[in-house]
Amino acid sequence: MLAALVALIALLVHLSLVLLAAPLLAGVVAWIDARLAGRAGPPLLDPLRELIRLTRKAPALPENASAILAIAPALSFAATLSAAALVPSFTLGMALSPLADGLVLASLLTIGRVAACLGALDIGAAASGRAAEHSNAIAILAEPALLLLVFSVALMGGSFNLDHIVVQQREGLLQPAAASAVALTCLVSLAFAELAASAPDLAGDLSGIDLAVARFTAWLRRIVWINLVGALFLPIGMAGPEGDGIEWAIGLLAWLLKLAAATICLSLAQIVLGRPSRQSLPNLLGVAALLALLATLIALSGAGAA
Amino acid sequence: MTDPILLALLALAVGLLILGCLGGLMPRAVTGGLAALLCGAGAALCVLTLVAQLPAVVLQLPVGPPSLPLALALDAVAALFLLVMLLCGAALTTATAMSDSASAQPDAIALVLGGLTMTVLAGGAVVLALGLATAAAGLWRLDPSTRPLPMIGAAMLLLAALCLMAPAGLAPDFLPMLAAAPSAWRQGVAAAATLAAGVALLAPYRLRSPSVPLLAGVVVPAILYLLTRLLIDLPLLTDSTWWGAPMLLLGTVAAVVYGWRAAGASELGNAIDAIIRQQAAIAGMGLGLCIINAAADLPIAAALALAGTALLSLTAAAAGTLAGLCVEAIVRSAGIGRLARLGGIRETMPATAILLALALLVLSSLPPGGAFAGLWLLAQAILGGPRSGGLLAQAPLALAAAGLAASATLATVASLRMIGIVLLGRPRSARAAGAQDISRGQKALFAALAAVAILQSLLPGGVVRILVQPLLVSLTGTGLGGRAGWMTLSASPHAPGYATLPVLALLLLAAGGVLLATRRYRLEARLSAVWTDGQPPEPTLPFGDPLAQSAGTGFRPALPHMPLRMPILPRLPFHVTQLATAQTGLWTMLVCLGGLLLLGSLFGTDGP
Repeated sequence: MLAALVALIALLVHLSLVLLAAPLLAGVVAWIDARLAGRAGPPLLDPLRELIRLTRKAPALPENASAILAIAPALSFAATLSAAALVPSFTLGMALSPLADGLVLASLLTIGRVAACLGALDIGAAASGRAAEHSNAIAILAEPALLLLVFSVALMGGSFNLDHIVVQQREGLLQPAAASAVALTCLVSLAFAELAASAPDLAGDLSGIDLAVARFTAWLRRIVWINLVGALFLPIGMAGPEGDGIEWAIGLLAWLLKLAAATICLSLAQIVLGRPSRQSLPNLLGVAALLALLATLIALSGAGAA
Repeated sequence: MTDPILLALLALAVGLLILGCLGGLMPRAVTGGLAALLCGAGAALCVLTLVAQLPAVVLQLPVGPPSLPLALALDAVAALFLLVMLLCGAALTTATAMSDSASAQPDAIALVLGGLTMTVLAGGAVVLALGLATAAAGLWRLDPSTRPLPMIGAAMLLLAALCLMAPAGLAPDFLPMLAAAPSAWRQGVAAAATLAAGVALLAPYRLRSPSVPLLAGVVVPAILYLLTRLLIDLPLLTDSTWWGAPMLLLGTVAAVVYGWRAAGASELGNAIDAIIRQQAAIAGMGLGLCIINAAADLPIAAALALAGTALLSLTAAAAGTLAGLCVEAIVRSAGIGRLARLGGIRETMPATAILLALALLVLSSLPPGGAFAGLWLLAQAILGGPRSGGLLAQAPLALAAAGLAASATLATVASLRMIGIVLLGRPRSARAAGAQDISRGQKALFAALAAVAILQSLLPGGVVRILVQPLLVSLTGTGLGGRAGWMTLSASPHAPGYATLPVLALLLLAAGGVLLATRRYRLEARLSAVWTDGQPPEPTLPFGDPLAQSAGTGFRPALPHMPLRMPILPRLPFHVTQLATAQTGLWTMLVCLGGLLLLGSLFGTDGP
């Protein structure tokens, strides 16, 4: 009973932190980007102000919009928040860890995208329709790569459950190392493509509070990707399933450091490599998919050899 | 108790065949209603067989040549697939009876159903081939442009496969085959013939739209039954069994190809058709995985693969039939099937739109849909598969994992595309704007099918426990046991797995919370016209500029150019190119098999 209560508290703390960190991280990213480009940079709390400003605006609703347009941002946010709840940040053994299946996680991210696309297609406007088409054309390359990556990691960890895989990684059992390295490269490529690429805006028909929810969803998605990389391949400092207060504090500190490192690395990568264009994105994702296949092949054959 | 059930099912099949032959003399509603009654009764008998876990029985009919009596059999494998076929058949014939379309032919559907019921109830090669030939006749009657050759050719190939597996001097019935395993070479050739038959039955791409629900609910389950029976049940699976990998690779390629076509088809009927064939191909992958795992003596992994196949078959049948019926209704009412001319169906046909969207979401490989549960089980089967043999032996499994991932995404994109382009948006033509919703009776029928699809999606573990477990025990020697709870599926009894309802509850809770919060703070919205990039509406285009709405043409990425130019092949003479057809291929295979049979008879049972 006590363990369940602790797991529930851990989940609530995790969700609160993630929800708080999402807009703050967006502000930090914008500030670092501006600083690296030689500008002063916007205030760090700018995204929060943006959310409040949008919430106070009366939304403009196209006359042929259906209930889908109103529900889509909420569903997209809900799916992304559910995904965020499944990826451990500072501790393992949260209340939802039995549900934290890698395939479910990838599918929740897909549901978030699908809901946004349905919202974009609802009123039949040209720009958002094109954005939905682009989003799907990219997803046909990106989502199989993510699913295959989950598969390769599951082969190394012996289970699709994220907590189980992280425990294996912490004990140094995510073998073979070559497959692990290839999978990490693939995940970083996917995260870079997702976070850095410039894509047409699926939220073009939204305004007011619905637009605020859509913006928040995008920021939350960034946190999910960073947490996924951190949990699967850098679980340093993360508290164990039965961790105490000190372990939680260490885990929190480690998580903050990982967020900061990931943000700086992402911004630097954008400066050095440039944002992937619409033309180069399929190539990047294609390479990521091939890397995922390679990791799967190495994991499959390596397990037999071991 | 199974004997009376088998007799009753035989009587139902004969009744369906009689309706198929004489149904044209009766009013359409009567024929359709009687066929639906027969199918419903048959489905109830199958449920009884599965739930009570009745033992398998064989019945020899005193009909036919002296040494070749017609044999019938009923076991868990036949009962499960027959349940699917008859349940969907009942829905299909009821819909046909309700339809006011002049092209509806319940008698032809009854003929197909009767033929395929005989095929599934067959206990030997003769009844199986006769049933397939009858079904081919029914399909041809339903649509004279359908080429019956693939089905007839497949029937011949299956007949040849069963003859190869029969012990020397005995009739080609299942019972003697199970009692005395044939030699490895005979099993191998029989498996090759079965695979060729499976390709012949599933490969044709373009079927007319009216055949889609029949394909989903009746034809595909029958094909999957035949593959299960001939590739898993009848042969003796040992470590030298080779046909698991080709089956897996064929399924993988077909799943990706049909998924790709579904995501880009310009006709609604073709897109649904491709999605259903894709689901069948994924189920075929499951059969390949089951063979590989069973041959490597991994019964639990084999059972996981088979459970995935069964769940996918059930989902594709119920949701596919519903989707097919909804598409038929839309195409009939709007008079057009092109995606670029439809749109806004949610306004004109709201009930049909909701039901089609539900069916597509179930098929879309997203949780909590039934297709996702099937895919999840297949992924577990790959994870629990054999790890020996090095890189080359593992390559099919890696490719299968990649194919599974790609086909899941393609199914999602194809479903989203159909929902977004056809159901949402604005009508793109006057016909789409004038479409009328289905009748109240049709709504009730479609809703019942949707309830079946949703129930099996939400309770995949319960479906496995009640309906699929006897099949697993029969074919792999072990069930899933504690791995299948009512709401959960897992790879091992005490490990966390996939839980449908908690995932759904999490989604609903989060979405509900956000909706409540946004409603609390939302200011009153002001209505505005659709933004057309600043252009005034064109008076000559009352439904707007067709180019101003996505027509679903850009949902797939452009394929990369070939890195190397293909060498120019020498041009073959005209008569040689004419010979290279599917028809010639089938005949060549038949001649080869005939030759092998001849060699077998000359050199004895162990082959040349």
